[in-house]
Amino acid sequence: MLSIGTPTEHSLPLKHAAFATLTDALEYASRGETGYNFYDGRGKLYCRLPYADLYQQARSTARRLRSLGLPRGSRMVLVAETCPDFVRFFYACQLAGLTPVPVPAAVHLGGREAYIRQLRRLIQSSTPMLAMAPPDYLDMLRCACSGLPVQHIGDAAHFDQLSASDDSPLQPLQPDELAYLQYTSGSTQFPRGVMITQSAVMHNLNGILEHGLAMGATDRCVSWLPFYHDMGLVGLLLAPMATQRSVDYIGTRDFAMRPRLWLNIMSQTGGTVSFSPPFGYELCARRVRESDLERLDLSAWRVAGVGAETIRPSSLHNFATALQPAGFNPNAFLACYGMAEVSLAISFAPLGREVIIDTVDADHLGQQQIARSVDNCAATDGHTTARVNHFVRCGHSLPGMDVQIRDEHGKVVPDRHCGTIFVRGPSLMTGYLDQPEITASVLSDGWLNTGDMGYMIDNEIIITGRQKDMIIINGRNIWPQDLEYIAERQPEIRPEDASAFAVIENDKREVAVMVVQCRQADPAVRNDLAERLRAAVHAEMGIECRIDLVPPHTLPRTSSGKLSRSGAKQDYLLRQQQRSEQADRQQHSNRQASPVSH
Amino acid sequence: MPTPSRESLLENIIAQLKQIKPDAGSLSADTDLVSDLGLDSVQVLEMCTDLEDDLDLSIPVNRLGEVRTAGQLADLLQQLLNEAD
Repeated sequence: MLSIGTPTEHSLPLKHAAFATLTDALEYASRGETGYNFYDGRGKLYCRLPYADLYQQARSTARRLRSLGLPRGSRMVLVAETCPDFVRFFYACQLAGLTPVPVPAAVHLGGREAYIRQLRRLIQSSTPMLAMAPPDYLDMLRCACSGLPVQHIGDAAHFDQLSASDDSPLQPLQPDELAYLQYTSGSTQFPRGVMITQSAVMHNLNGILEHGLAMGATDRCVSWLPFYHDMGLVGLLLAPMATQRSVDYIGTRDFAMRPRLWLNIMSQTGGTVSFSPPFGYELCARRVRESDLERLDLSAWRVAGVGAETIRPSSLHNFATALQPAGFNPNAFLACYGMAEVSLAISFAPLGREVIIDTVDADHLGQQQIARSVDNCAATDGHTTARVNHFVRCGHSLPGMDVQIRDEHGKVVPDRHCGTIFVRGPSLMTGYLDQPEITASVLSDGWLNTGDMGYMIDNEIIITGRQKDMIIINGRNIWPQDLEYIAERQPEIRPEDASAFAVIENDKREVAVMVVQCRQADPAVRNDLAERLRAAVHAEMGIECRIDLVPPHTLPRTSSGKLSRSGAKQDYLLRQQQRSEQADRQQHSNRQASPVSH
Repeated sequence: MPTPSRESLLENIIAQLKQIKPDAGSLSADTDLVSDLGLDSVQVLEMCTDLEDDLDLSIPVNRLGEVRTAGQLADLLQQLLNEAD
């Protein structure tokens, strides 16, 4: 039985991704002793994969794939479960001159058909020659590919049966070729494949490792992030390899089931670097037990990265308070900002600095788009406002990455003025695969329109809201158009009858809401529709969604005639308020009518 | 240990569900976990964790894709227990 993973330290001199390609990086890492380690749902190490072994295995797999004689740059879809086979095939693609396309491995309760539809859309978008899934997913992958021109579909064993081609040298992907195609960003209904070249990802990795994390010879990473997500793939699969560090992996679902497993592994292996969306820290803080604290030693944890969704200061605070007795240093929190379209990272807060919160006047921000610090405005106007927003400072952009905040007319605005965030630099994507129009709408003159809103203070980026309409539930991005599409599939719903958005609950969590125009008056029919919608959203997206049925022509439109989600949200909140006032009045009059009182 | 009967598996599942959704009312084999109970994905995983710990097995994520009701979940658990033997 395996008990010890690959070592944390070795004698190979550390290089911060100073390589031209991922293949070069892996070849260098293979000269050392570090590598990837995989743990099961009970925290037992089941596979130890030093980079030296991985490199050999990936080369041999690449020779088998090469025997298929596919055109260079052909795509291979990989259902990205956290397992050694995914990793081996990802690197085999690099060596064989194929473009790997990691796709989600996540099925919801009762969601088999929805998952197959999602896979099928990704396969239609990425038009792969090859598709691989773990044995458990193979049947669904086959269904998803049915009728599509995918040449080979199989699990790892299937591709391992191919005979290796001759011994002539492999021709790995070159700096100007794609490193991978990434589908994390964007809607599942209308997927966009982000094209990232080798030189783009290597540039970003260098920035992350040398400047963002200052990775050193005693660092060790731990991760439960999915490999089909940019932070999981680039941040915790490629970055540790490109800096010759060891990593300990647990499956994403195993983490979600047993969040304390993450802390156990961090403690056991002396992990120093790990990342999570705020949701992961919240989950841990809720589940950690008194008895864990004596057992756990989190004092080595140097970088606890936080990104991927708007950071709520309270979730970090709860985690730090709960885990401080186990040696967790609150200054380990590292706020960062990024997206798949720039490979991964745009900015990191300075290392070792406490998380700095900017508290601003919410009304002023909403009306003037200016983030006025509450301390300042108290000093100048002599009054404090009741409503404030707390935003986390996400640090300076990485070297080579330029950032601008622009107003709606495209003009660059001064500090503390809120606008759309634009970025420029060598780690940007080439574009979205086969979508020149959408690409042109976000990329021009070398600048990427991130779609995110924010402002700057002394060159530090502060995010006020991510992609205008995006809904974020438990760290997952949900696109409103995906929810609306589910509604429109119901026979009695017409296009433009549904509008989806998120509202903040009393406990500060986001909840998805969909307002749907319904022509039926019969309460039974209406109930049935609402139930069907709720179930369909759950099966497809794995989230709860509140359905609000309204009469036709209720949904508001913008001046250009498009449905306005923000307008629909305002109307919904107003209706909710009226409903609760009505309920109060009802209760009040019931009490007055009732002779019995307590 | 003999494999638990479908009835006892179902009882176990219903007991878990009552913990997660105390206001759920009466539950049966036909209770739809999603449309009747509105379990979210975190709650589904919570339930799976407890069932896995109780029964000492692991529920493969892909097999949950075909489960809608409490009864179907009991069937799946029984299958998994038989496969493990």
